[in-house]
Amino acid sequence: MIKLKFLIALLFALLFYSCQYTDDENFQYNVGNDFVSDPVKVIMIDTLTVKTYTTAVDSVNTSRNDRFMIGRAENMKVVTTCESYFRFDPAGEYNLHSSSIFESANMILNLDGYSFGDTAKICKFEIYRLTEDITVDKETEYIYNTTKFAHEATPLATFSVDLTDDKLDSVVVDLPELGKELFDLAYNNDTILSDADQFKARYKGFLIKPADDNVSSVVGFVANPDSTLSPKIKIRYQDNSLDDDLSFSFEIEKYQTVTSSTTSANVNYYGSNYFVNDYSKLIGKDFPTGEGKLSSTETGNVTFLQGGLNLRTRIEIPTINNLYFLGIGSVIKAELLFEPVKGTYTKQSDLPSKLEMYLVDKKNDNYGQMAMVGSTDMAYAVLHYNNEFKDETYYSFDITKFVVDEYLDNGDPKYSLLMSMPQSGINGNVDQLIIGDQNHPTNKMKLKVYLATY
Amino acid sequence: MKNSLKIIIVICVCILLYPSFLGAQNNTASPYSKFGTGELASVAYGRNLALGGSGFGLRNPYQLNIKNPASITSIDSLNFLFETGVSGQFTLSSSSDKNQIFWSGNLTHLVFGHRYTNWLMGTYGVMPFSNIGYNLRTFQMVESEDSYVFTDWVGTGGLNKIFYLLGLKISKNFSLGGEVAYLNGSLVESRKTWAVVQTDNPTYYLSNTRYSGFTYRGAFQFTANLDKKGTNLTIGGMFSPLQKLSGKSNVIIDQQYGSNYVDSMYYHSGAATPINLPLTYGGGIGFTWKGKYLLAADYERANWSINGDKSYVDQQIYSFGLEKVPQNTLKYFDRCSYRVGFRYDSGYIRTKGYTVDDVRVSLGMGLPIQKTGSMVNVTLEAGQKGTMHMGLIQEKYLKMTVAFSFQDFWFIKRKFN
Repeated sequence: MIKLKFLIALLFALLFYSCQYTDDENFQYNVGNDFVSDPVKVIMIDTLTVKTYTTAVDSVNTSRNDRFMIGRAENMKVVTTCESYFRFDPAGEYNLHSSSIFESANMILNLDGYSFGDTAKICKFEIYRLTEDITVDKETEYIYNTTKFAHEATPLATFSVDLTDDKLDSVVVDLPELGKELFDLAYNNDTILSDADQFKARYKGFLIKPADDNVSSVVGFVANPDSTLSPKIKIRYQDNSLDDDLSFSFEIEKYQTVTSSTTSANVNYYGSNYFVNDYSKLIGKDFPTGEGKLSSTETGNVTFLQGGLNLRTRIEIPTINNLYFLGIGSVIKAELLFEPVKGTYTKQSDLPSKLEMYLVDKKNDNYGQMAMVGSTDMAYAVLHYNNEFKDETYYSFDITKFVVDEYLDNGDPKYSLLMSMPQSGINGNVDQLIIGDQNHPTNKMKLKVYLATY
Repeated sequence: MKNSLKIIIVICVCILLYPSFLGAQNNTASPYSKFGTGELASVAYGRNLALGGSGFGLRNPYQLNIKNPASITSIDSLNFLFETGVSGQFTLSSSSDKNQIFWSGNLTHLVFGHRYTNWLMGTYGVMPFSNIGYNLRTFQMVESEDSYVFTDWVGTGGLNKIFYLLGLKISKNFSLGGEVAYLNGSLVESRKTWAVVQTDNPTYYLSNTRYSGFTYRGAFQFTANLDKKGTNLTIGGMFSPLQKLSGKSNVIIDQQYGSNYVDSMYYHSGAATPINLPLTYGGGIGFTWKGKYLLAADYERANWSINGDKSYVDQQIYSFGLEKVPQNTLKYFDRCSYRVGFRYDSGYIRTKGYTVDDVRVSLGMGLPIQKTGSMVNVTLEAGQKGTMHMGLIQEKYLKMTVAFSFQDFWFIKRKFN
């Protein structure tokens, strides 16, 4: 019996010893198609029709925003004009004596570094006093980019901004008459300075806009009322003292905190931007809004995306079901490639680094942002900027999820895509992207679908 | 009773070990096992292996020669035999630009022999018929774009053979034999196809084809004693008709997106293309000189081209072996057998204009276990398969097989414990 047990044990030992292993995880042969041939083929199809449209929105809210944008810029026959409306609170602290003498008054505006347009040109701006109260939408408590308030016919002051000056970080505009008036209120201890509502009823606010004939660029100024860099009117005076830097300031109206049962939000009621595009040189009318869309064929084979006004590009792939004619298969990748139109940008920072894609129906109603296929990560366009050869700059957008879903759905396409600038912060810029469509002579849009057929 | 208890234990062990034939492990690591039913396993073990695989003309009173069913009638003094073995293989695979080393191994066979009467002997057992084990990477280009698509192929499985042999002694010099065998097993292939443009979204193709079917063999053996000093000549022959293996295959195609999202794209279950196991025939001689030296030579032919597919070609196998026959003396090393062999297998697969042939030499020893008559057969084979031409692969291998042959003396002896 001992020997039998021994032999059985030996047999087991040998069996386990002989279990197969390999010396290396990566032990495939790279034998190519010479040895065996995979019947699964991957086909790239770039012949699907892609229809593109520009669509606008009714309006974008522009109050509660940390940037005033002022100026006028032209790009590809579209002229964008930006104006800012705002008002001041009465000066809080001042300590004037009977011997105090008014010296000067300035409006101080701090640049925040943002610009859009031809920065080589001098920007000419005008400051007006408003003759109409700034009001907000009663329901939303917002002011929108389409809202204007009446102002005096002649500017209070004019000033210019030269963006080619690297050291320029603020603008100081003399306001002698208005400054003297405000100084006198303080000097006389006028009660209006202790009643903000009364003050704002008299000093309704200001408009800063580009001079009518000036087309240069849009400049960003700090507008966060909590920042010391926000617009203010600084009044300097002299006194019988050694201190030669006496002043007090009228600062921009603070945020008002609105507390409801559910939320507590900072609401800046009365500072807003007005944005408008003039398309008269391009199409002679505005882009349709809401469920409307204007084909790229009517706009010189380009479509527009823009912040501030929120111009977006609608993308339709009506013949997606043609993929079925290629046999049983699965979509492994779908990529939209498009190029910014040559001449509409001069440097990388002119181009948005990121674009978003939304699933929309026939009426442009939004069904959510596009994610990457097989993932919850959102899909974004990737800018491939070519410093050396600018003409080779392009965007790639992975729309695999959309094409896979439409392909598997098997019916007529129900959805389309809406590509936009990042919607978060859309009111904080007027950046513009102009892209070629499928038939653009030089900057063609391409849709590449990679299909594995079996 | 004790004797039968041991038999039961041995059978239990065999049942335990049986699953290891069923594709639990890869018995091969040859890319050529992608073709046909896989890499064909040896048809005989132990002594035959060391003699280049020859065996049509071999008879031995103490060891089973399952290559020729008619030969088992030589077991005329034993009631029961049990044989099994294990093997380990080292393979160096070379393509024109790459070398790879593999180790593989497994149980080789489990065979039982029973003597029913002086003229009737039965043998049954299980062993691999073919083995599949390959890992390949191929590439192609995307249609209408200049970028690569890779495919990783993994093949596993193989066919097992459960067989029953009957040997019938017609006269002192002439025996007939037959075999019926049931083949079954799965040929499993998984392919992962992925494009370089989107490596996260591979396409998986999984096919599992289960084949089964019966095969039959008939054989004869004729022995002539040429003198009284142990010089004899044995002639044997074997014939197996064409048999069809029918199969059922399941094909699943999955499209993966990202790391954890899979779309099931395609499923098909249906009859697979049958495999024709060809008409096979062969013959051989065994010449023993004065009970001291044995020369064996076999020829075998299988008409695989019957499958009609260009990749199948007729296979011819030539086997030669020389053995120093054990002597009944007190010196242990005189009681051992010493064997050398040579085998040339023309192959049954043709690819890229080359037939995947196989040539090997073997060295072996038969080591008797003290006084029991049981034996351990150790065989070392060295060979070369395939070619490096046309992007194909050449395999050089070294294989060691240890086979055990237990006789009923071994079982009976225990009675006297």
